[in-house]
Amino acid sequence: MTVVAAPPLLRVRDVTMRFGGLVALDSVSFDVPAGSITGLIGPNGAGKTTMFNCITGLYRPQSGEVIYKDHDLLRLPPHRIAPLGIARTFQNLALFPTMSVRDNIAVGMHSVTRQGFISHALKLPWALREEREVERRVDEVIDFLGLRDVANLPCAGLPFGTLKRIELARALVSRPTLLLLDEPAGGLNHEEISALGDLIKEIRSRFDVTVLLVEHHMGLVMGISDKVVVLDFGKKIADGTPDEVRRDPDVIQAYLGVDE
Amino acid sequence: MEMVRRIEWRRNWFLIGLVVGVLLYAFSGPLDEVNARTDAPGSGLLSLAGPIGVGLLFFGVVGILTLVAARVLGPIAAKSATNRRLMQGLGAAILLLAFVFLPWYYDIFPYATLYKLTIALQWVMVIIGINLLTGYTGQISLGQGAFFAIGGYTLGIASFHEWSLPWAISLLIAPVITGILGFLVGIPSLRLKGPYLALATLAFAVIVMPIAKRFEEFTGGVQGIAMFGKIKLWDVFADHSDYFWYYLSLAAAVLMLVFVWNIMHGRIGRALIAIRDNEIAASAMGVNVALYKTTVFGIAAAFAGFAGAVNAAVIQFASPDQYSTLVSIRVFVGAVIGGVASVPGAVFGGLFTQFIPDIAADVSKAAADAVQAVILIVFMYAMRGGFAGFVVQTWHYGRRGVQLLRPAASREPATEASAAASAPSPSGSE
Amino acid sequence: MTDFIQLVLAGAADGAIYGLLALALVLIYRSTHIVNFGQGEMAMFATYLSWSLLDAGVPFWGAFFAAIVIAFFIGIIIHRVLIHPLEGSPELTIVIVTLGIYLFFNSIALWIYSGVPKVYPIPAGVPRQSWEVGGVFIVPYHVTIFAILFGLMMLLFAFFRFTKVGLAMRAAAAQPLSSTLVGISVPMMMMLGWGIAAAAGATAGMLSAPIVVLEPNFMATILIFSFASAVLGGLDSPVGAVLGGFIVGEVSALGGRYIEFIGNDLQIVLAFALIVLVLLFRPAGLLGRPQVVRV
Ligand SMILES: Nc1ncnc2c1ncn2[C@@H]1O[C@H](COP(=O)(O)OP(=O)(O)O)[C@@H](O)[C@H]1O
Ligand SMILES: [Mg+2]
Repeated sequence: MTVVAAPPLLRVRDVTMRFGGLVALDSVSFDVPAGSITGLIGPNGAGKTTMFNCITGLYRPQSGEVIYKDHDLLRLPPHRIAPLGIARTFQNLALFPTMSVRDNIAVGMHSVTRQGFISHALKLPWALREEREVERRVDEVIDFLGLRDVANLPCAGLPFGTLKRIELARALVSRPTLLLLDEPAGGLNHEEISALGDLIKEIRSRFDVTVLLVEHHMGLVMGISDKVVVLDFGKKIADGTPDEVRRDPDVIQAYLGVDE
Repeated sequence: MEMVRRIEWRRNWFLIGLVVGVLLYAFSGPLDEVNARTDAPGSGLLSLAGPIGVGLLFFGVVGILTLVAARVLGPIAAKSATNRRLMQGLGAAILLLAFVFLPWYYDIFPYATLYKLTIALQWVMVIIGINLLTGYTGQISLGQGAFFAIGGYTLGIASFHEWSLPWAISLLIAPVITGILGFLVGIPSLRLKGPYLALATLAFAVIVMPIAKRFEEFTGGVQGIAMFGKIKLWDVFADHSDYFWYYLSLAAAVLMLVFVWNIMHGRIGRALIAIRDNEIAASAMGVNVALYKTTVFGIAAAFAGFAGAVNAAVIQFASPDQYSTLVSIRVFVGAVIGGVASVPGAVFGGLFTQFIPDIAADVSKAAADAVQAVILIVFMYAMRGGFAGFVVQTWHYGRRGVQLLRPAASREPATEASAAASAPSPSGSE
Repeated sequence: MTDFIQLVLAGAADGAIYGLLALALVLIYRSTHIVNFGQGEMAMFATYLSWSLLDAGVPFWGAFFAAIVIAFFIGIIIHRVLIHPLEGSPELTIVIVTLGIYLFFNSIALWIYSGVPKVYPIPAGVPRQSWEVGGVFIVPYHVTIFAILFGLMMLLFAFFRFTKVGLAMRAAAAQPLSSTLVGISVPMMMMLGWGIAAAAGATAGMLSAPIVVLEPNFMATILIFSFASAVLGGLDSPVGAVLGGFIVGEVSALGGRYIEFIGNDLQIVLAFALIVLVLLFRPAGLLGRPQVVRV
C-alpha cells in the first residue's frame, strides 16, 4: 500500500492524558499518513475519543506532542485548530439544536470565512459576497449528503442517523485537509454501515481529504482503512495495515478478552 | 357542555381571552367604584380586573390579526425568499412609520405621553442589547442597569459636573466607556455559566450605586447630578426639545435594532447562536468563543450606556434613586416578556417595560412589580418565547389552518365555529 | 487589640446571618440545582409577617415560630406551583422564574407594608445591655444569634443524619434515579427542601431585622453577602455555607475597618470581589474539587 508510506500529515507523540488517577492515554504515538484513511480502534473506554479531544484542543494532555504539518496542536486553543483544516464529528453528537439544518452546516464554514461584526452589521459588499459563497458551499454538501428534505427544519427532533449525517456535512463543508470521524456508524444497521464505508471512500477521493476514523465496528474499519492503530486501556497495542493488525495476538486478546 | 369540552382551549386561548377580556373590562368600571370606597391595603386587588381585561383583549386582538395575516399573507410569503424578505421589510417600514408619526397621535393610547415614549425607546436600546447577549448568545446578564447608570453618570460628570464637554460629545463618550467596561466585565464572566453568571452580574448591579455614592466629588453622592435647564440644544430644536429627544432616541434605537438584525443574519449570528447552543462544538468549528462573548458583552453594555446617557439628558438628572438594582431586573423582565431571542421582541419589550408599571399602577403604585412578576411567570409557562414568540407561533398555527374545535368522533363538523373561523378548517392532524 | 476582638465578634454575628441565608440557598441548590434569586425576598416577606403578628400583640417567640412555619409552607407551595412544573426546562427559564419570585415578594411587601422602615424588636428576654469581659463588649443579641444558628445546625444535622425523611432527602439529592427506584418520591423530597430552605431563610430574616431596619429591600444586600458565602462553600455543602458565612462576615467587618476605601458603605464590594474570585479560581468552592467537562 503506497498511501501508508506517504509522509505523515499528523504525528502523535507520547501523548499522556490523566483524569485524576485514571490514565486515559498512556504515552500514545502514531502517524496519520497524508491521503490515507487511518482507523483508530479499541474496546470501549480505550481512549479513542479522548485522543480526538486532545487533537482538537478540547482536552489538554499532561505531556506529549501532536504535530500537524508544522503546527504543534497542543499549544493552540480549540478555535485555532479548525482554521488549520482539521474538522471533526462527535461520538455523542454536538449539533446546535435550535438552529436549522442549513445553519448548522453553515457554522462549519466559520473557520474558512473572515468577515466580522462591523462588516456584517453594515452589510458591506464583501460580507454579502462571503455569505453567498457560504450558501453555495452549504447547498453543495446538502445535495451531496442528501439532506435537501430536512434542510430548513430545526435540528432538534430529527432521527439519529440524519443528525450524524448533518454532523458529517458540517465537518465537510469547510473542505478540511484532515477529517476526524468519531464512530460514524453508531446507531446504523448492517446495510447502512456498508453504504457508509463507500461514502467515506468517496469523500476521501472527492474532497481529497485525509481521514482518521474511530470506529467500534471492526468490519467497517478493516474494510476501508489503509492503516489501523489499536488502543487498549489507553495504551497503543498495535499499529499497521488491517491484515497485520488482524493477526496481532495482543489485538485478538484485547477484543476477545474484553469486548465481544 | 359537550361543546365546551370540544373547544381547542390550548391553541385558541386568546380568542376566548378576547371574550373574557371584554367582559372583565366592562365590569371593571363598577369594581373601581367599590375600590374607591375602601382603602385598606390590598383592596386594590379588585381593580386588577380592568388591567387583566385589557391584557387579554390585547392578546386576543393581536392573535386574531396574526391569524388573518397568516391566512392572507402567509401564502404569498411562502412563494419565494424574495417575497418573504420584501414583506419583512414592509412590516419593518410600517412599524417605523408608526413610530415616526407617533408624536401626532400618541394620545389615542391610554397612558402614553411623548416623554414616556421617549423613555420606552431607551428601554428598547437596553433590551436589544440584552437580546443579543442573553437571547442569542445565551449569557444571562442581570447587570445591564449598571451600565445604564454609568452612561447617565458619564453624561452628568463629563458635561455638567466635573468638566464641561459639549453634551453631544458626552453622549458619544458614554457608550465608549460602558462598552470598554462591558468588555472587561465579560472577561471574568467567561468562566461562569447559567445561574452563576446571573448571580455575578446581579452582584455587579448591586455594587455600582454604593461605589457611585462613595465617589461623591464626581457623582454628587446621594444627591446626584442635576442638569435642569443646563442642556442647551441647538437653536433649531430649542423650542421642541421633547421632540428632539424622541427622534434622537428613535434614531438610535432603530440603528441598534438594524445592527443586531444584520449581525444575526449571517456568519456572526450563526456563531453566537452556536455558542448559546453548544459552546464546545462552536469552538471546535473555529469560533473564538471568548472573543465573541466579550465583544457581545461590550456591545450590550455600550447600548445600555448610550440609553442611560440619553435617559439622563431627558430626565435632566442622574442620581442613585433612578438606578436601583430593580432597574436591572425590570429591563431583563421586559426583555423576556417581549421575546428575548427576537429583534422585534425588543421593541415590545421596551414598551412593556415602560407601560406595564403604568397600567399596574392603576391597581396600586406599589404593586407594579408584582403584576410584572405575575405576567413574567405566566409567560414562562404559557409563552416562553415572550410576546414575539406568541406572534410567531400564532402565525404558524394560522398557516397550518385554524381549528376551533377538537375533531369529534361523532356529530356534524365544526359548523358552529363562529365568525372568527373565516379560515377553512382542515382535517385534524398537523 | 480589644478593638480587633470587638470587630471579629461583630463580623461573626453578621456572618452567622449570612450563613443562615446561605444555608437556605444551598439546601435548594442541593435538592433542585437551582440558584433561588427570590430567597432573600421570601425571607423578607416572612419577617414582615412576623412583624404583623408582633404588631397584633402575639408574644415574640410565638410570632417567631409562627413565621417560620408559614415560611415553610410558602416554600412548599412555591415549589409545588412554580418550580416543579418547570422540571427539565432551560436554566434561563428557571432563573427568570426565581427573579419573578424576587420581584413579586418585593413588590407585595411594598404594597402591604409601604416603604417606611419598621422597627423590629430584639427577642423578648434578651438583655439590651452589653456584657463587658476584659474590655471587650459582648452583645447578648449576638450570642442569641449564634445560639439559634448553632441550634438550627444541630437540628438539621440530626434531621439529615438520623431521620428517615432526612436520609431520603439526601439520597434524592445525590442519586435521583436510584432513589426513585427504591421508592423515594424525589419531587416530594425537593418540595421539603424548598420548605426547609424557606424556613431557614425566614430565621435569617428575623434575626437580621433588628440589626438593620425592616424595609422591603433590606434582604437584597444580605442576599449578595449570602451568595458570596454559599459560593465560597461550593454551593452544595451546608457546612461550607455556614463556614463561608463566617468568612464573608469577617472579611467585610475587618475590610470595612482596615481598608480605608471600603469603609462602612462598600463592604458589599468585598462580597462581590469574593464571589468573582472564588468563581474564577475555585469554582467548586473552598471545599470542593474541580472536574473536566466531558465531550
Ligand atoms: N472528562 C473526563 N473526565 C474523566 N474521565 C474521562 C473524561 N473523558 C474520558 N474519561 C475517561 O477516559 C477513558 C477513555 O474514554 P474515551 O476516550 O471516551 O473512550 P473511547 O472513546 O475509546 O470509548 C474512560 O475511562 C473515560 O471514563
Ligand atoms: Mg468514544
